[in-house]
Amino acid sequence: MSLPDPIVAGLARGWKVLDAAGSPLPARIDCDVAIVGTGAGGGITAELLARAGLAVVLIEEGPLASSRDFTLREADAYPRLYQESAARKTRDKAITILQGRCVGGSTTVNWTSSFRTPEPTLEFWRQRFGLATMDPQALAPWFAQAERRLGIQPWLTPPNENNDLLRRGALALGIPAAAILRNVRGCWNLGYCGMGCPTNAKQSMLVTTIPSALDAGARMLVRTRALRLAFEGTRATGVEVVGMSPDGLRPTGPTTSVRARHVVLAGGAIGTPALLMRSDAPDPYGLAGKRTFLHPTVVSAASFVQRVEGWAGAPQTIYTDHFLGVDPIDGPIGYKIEAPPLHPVLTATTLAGFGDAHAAAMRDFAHTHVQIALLRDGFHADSPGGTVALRDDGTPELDYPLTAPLRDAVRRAWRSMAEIQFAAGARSVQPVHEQARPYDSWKAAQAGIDALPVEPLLARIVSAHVMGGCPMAGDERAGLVRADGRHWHLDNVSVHDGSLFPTSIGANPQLSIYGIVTRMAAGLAQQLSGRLVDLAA
Amino acid sequence: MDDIDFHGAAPVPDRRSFLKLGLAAGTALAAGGGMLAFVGRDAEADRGTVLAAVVPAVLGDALPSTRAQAVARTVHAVETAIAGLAPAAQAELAQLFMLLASAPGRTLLAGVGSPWAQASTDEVGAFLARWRHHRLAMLRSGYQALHDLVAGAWYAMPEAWGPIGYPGPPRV
Repeated sequence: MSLPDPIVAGLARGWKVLDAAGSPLPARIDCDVAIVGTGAGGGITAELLARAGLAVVLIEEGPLASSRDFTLREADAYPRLYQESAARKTRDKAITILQGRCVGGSTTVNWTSSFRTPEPTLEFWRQRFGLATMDPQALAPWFAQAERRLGIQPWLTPPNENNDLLRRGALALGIPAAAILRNVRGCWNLGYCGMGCPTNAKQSMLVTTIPSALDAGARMLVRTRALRLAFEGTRATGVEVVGMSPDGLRPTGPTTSVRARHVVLAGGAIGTPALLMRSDAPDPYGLAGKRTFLHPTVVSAASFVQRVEGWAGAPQTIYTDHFLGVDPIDGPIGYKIEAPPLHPVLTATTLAGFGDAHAAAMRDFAHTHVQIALLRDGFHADSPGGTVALRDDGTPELDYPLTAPLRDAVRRAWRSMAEIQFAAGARSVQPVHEQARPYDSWKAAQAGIDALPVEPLLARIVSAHVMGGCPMAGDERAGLVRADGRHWHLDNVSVHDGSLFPTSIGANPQLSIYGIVTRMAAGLAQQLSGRLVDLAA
Repeated sequence: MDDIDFHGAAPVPDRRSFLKLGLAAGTALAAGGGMLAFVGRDAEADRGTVLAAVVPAVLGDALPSTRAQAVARTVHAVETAIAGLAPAAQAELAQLFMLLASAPGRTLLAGVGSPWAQASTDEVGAFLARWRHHRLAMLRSGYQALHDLVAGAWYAMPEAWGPIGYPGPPRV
């Protein structure tokens, strides 16, 4: 392997990175700002604060893995780079949640889809959550800055067949579909984004802001869990952390105090509320860990005569938002349709059934086209999302009930996907549900889908987008943090990750986090250092 | 072995007698003090016993003709995968396997009359089909755990890739 690895090079240059699974943590660490988490929010924040000359310490529970480690094998990637081996589940096990747990967080393993926060979502936030500054014009320069930094641009390479089938099917039905912007530079179009980019083309936090922060002197603790915040009155004095065992599963050894003037929480929308809950942080209105959203995602598999080879080529390059615009945003729940990457483990575990029937479906793997529909939760009055609770061992667990408006949307989404797939020429379509079978016509699919009970653990539901749980709002009764990310009840604690969102986004959320957090972190840098800073050019 | 075929509007079929037995067994186990029922059991041995029977039923004719070795490799891969799960998930799976391995769990909850080592693939498949469509969400989740662990372990192995037309990851 001869491709340059920017992490190996940075470590050789003397980056201050301590792997707590390999060496003991010092008894105490002092800094200006402790940042918990190194994903989209933590990465952006680290770069801006470090460029402002602040002494930054990053705390990351996962490992520092880089391109030389990315074997492109699911058996290596899922245990190493994902929360709970990519098998994180909701409390009733009905929804599987894909979330990164490594340096770079989910940005290291995501599928590169980049959308600015949709205007209807921002409008809803302004109207319902008093977030006057969440305005498309006001946010535009911050999105533009993040897009420049991360190479977010139209992807000009033709879509792979899995995505082109979505485009052709939608076109045949007169449904608008468009290309997805991607955060890549010099992408080889391999299709293995979910296992860590082997060529460092994906402009994840791992290869952009984190290296830049480390070059500016930031320190990073990896395989280190943030246990709780320490407070004196309404001030956080720092973060108590502990090293993880070499397998990354259990905390081990003594705790260490990372003492900081300011603490930024960016551990994701399950981890951040859990940290606040473990810390008994003030929460007079009981908001922490509530209204947690998932974009609950349902799946439709189709078989084609031609080879589809959904593992090859950039994933998720075509989308349609047609079904987000049919009803009012707080009416019947709408959904975004995309075409994910197909790899053997993800496909085999997602497809329903067992025995010879499952084996036959897998023998058709190369001819399988899959669409996913991401439900826009959190807008309908009866879509309050889920609730994060702590297990006995302090780790978080999300309870996410499937309410009636979601069940209704699940069925409509299966129908929409099946219709598009037949319009693209599918020989059969099977929504992923334990009682579904391959339907060989749109008519048969309609009847079949209408008869499927939309029940947890019969309908297969997945999520790759966890949002909410520490919502921002213009009023302390509606949100845990203000529009600038600062905690309503703590003097020196900010939240800079997807847990900020008071609803789901209605689009893949990475650029929403990048843009909104760029504004928050630039403001915080100025308050703490007096300096105006931008993301690196 | 085929699993149960559901068409159209047919409701989730209850094996009523089984359901009653299942609830009775669950209640009995709970009344017995939950984990007390597992005292003295060897969790790893229980897991191996159950998996050796479940793997062929989940994978069906995806398994090559040299079945025994492929099953053993898959069982090993499942064990490796479980070792990478969060402690809370590992504990829940250990309970599932101990429950299934115990005679009351196997006969009353899973409905498998023969000891796992002697159970036919059809008998194990019938158990999987019942749990897959069961009215109790907890048993459906047990089925899905077995499905995902076994299918995930097998299709992660390069030997599974040729028959499904997957060339493996590119060399970079």
